[in-house]
Amino acid sequence: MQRKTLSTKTQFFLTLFLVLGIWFLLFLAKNNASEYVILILNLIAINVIFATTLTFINGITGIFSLGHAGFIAIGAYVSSLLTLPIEQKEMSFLIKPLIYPLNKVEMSFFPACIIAGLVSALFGYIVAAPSLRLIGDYLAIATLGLGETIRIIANNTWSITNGALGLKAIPPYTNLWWTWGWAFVTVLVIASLVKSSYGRALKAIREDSLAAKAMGINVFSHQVMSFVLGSFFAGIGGALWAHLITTIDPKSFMFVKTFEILIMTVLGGLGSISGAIIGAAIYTVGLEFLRVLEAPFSIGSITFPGIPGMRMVVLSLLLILLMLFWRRGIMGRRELSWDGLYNLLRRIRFSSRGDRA
Amino acid sequence: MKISEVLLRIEEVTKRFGGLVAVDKFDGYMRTGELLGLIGPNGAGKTTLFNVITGMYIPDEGRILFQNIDITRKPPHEITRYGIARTFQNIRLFSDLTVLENVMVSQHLRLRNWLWLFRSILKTPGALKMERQMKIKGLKLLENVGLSDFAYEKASSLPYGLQRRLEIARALATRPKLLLLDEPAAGMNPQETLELMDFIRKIRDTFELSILVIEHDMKVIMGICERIYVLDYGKIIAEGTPEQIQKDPAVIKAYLGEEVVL
Amino acid sequence: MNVQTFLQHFINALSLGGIYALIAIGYTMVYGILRLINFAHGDVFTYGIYFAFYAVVAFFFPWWMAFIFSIFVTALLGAAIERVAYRPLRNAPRISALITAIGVSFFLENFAIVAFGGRAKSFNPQTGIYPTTFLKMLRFGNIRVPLLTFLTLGVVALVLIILLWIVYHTKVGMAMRAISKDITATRLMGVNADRIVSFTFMIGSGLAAVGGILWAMKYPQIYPFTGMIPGLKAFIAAVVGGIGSIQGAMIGGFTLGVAEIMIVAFFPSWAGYKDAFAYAILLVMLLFRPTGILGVEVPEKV
Repeated sequence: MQRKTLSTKTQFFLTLFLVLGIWFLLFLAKNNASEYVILILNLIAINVIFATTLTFINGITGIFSLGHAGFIAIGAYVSSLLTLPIEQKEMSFLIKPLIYPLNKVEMSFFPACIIAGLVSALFGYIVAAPSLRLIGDYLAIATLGLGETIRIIANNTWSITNGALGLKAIPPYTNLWWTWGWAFVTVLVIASLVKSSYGRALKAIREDSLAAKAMGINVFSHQVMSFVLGSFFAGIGGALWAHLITTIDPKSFMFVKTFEILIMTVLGGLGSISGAIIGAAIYTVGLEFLRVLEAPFSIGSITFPGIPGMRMVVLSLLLILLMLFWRRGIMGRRELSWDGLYNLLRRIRFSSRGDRA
Repeated sequence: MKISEVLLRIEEVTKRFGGLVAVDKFDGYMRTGELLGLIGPNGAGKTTLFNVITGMYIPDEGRILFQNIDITRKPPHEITRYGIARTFQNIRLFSDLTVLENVMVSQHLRLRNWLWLFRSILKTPGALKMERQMKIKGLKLLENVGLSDFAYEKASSLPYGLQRRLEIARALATRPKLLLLDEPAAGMNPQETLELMDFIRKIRDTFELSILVIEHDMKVIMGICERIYVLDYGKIIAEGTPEQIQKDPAVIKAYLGEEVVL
Repeated sequence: MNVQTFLQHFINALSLGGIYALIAIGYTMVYGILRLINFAHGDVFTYGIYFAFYAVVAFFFPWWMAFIFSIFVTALLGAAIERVAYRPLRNAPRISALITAIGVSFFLENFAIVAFGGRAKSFNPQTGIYPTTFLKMLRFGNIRVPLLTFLTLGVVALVLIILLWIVYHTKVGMAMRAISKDITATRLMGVNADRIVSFTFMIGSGLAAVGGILWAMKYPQIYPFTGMIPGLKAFIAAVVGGIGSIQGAMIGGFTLGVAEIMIVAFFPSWAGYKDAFAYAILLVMLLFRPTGILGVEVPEKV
């Protein structure tokens, strides 16, 4: 059966309807859903940003970076330091006062997010050059070390980050429009890039960077670009996250965070943007379901006592099983597309017609 | 096409790896439009020379001049932009990409500045037009080499002979002036080898190329090359036309050992 | 600072370095034969401590029996991990094995929270884990060094000697070295590679248990994440010394231990950053000599 492609106009309108549909659902949620559901929806969007950026850097470009938590941390801290009211800063910074000019600054959410993203991207740029000289395993360890180093620095620079005390009473600016809006932008930008010549170049670098060089691609500058773009949006995700949970400290950005994003991405398929979205959604919701395990619950007349920490045990077991039996994840490296969906529907219709005949 | 000017000049190039001298004062040249062969026993330094020319290795001594430009220390991707492309001894296709994508990647070097990045993300008319052109050029190239039927298949799914052809097509897509082929006939049966020889002659004319071939299959080398360099232990031991090389005692000794009688 | 303080710090540094060396050897051996960074090694280290702890507290073993018991059980744990999580992925892309190793590490850590409790336990004579004499302070002139430090150094030295003997003077050791060069060829020589790999994991994990017990005697508060940071540092030590080389791991371990203690000794205000020193050294190494001090450069065949 011939594979049909939908016209660009059709695809555009389909996407438009999808976006409007989601917007409408969010609108309904905002006005009718409980705070808990809204929290989950916010988390899903933020995790979508984290997972998409990780799959972009790790899965599509092939840079096995384990330092994602570091860039999220930078975004979180920078944005919070910019938006915290001045009096709050004076109150929180007990050990050492916050340095100038941060202690006199108080700005609104959007510019703070942008600056957070830019600072994160800047760090990505600085870090990229030395790190990308390494391959595979060494790169993984180096980026892990970098992520941890950022956290240790945050823990010790009392005059900037308030050290181990962290920041609290961060204004709760995050809402469904911000999170889903940024999630859209992130996915749109990265997907648009991946579907262009640059996307092919990045994948070529992933497949065989030596051959990519031989085909005229400046591998290093493209890897840096990927890293910087990924950390930009990761930083913004961090900003959104900080203004959602309103309290951050260095312990929130331990390697566990990168690990969680890794699970999301691998679950959805490392190297697929649609996979990252699906993985993020399933993980976020699944994590909440697993919360059940940690509190006492009953099935029928049997009561199971809650076991704290069981969630992470199950999650890590999940990752191991995934890697052993289903390495490709849900989407593998493929993407969801209107064409794909259309052809799938046609095949189903075709086969049911065939049965009747 | 004038088969006269010197296209590539390799001046006394030496490359060492620790104590081993892989290429020993190689001094040679190539003319525009020439079909040049590079032969020698295994380990003679042929692929190393390719790697030096294409910038993967930097020579310890000597210079490489391409169209009178010194490319000795330039990085590989820049050398490709100057117009030198290569294939690999062990096929290095982009396995997970389709055949068409493999040849479109080679055109990425046309996007010369980072402005194209923004144009690509924003999908400006200019970017869309460039993408269309790349696709058309890619499909045309595939047609030229007989791979159109496989355009949307994953590169790794092709049979071996076609993968070899895709390797060459991918290099051609960078619009080179000089093409370096590293053992293109490896693993081919006699029929495929004949087709390959015709193929190489054809692309030389169609794409106005100069071609440098490393090969072990003497039929191929003697059949298509106009001039041949013979390498042994990194040194040139002979240079000349196929007829001259076949009679050269040093060459025979290198390949077959001293005791063989002509 | 005067000579006495310096010596005190230095001996302390050597004992810490020795512990890092023991753990680093485990990483380097596994990387040597499987090209895998065993993220879970730091957690095996933690479990070694817990096994010793529970052997005394729950099974009422005397300390020496508990320690030996722990070494054996931890070795078995290491072999089990290899069998279940790494062997099926022997031919998979390296990234997959790496991710799995991370998963195993997290599993072990969180399982420890569930099984042993997240609160710190005390690994010291008060809880009866080992005799108080170990903590006795010895005096050399003006220098005061706990007996424990010398014990650590002694144990480390003994273990390293035994290990080097195994690797260089037994058939098993030769098989291990062969596998690290070429596993397929070694198989073709009739060597049961799987068994040698298991054995390697057992040795590495046993060493980690020894290191863990020594560590716990030095830093008595143990909790599920005890092994994470020393584990990471030990891996860095292995890389710095030259990954794949046992002597390199030893050198790397001692280097890192000495650096950590001596830098803080000279610059006390940097104490908060001491965990970051290892990363800094790593970065410098990877930039200028990625194969490490004793590493061998393997050029990529083009």
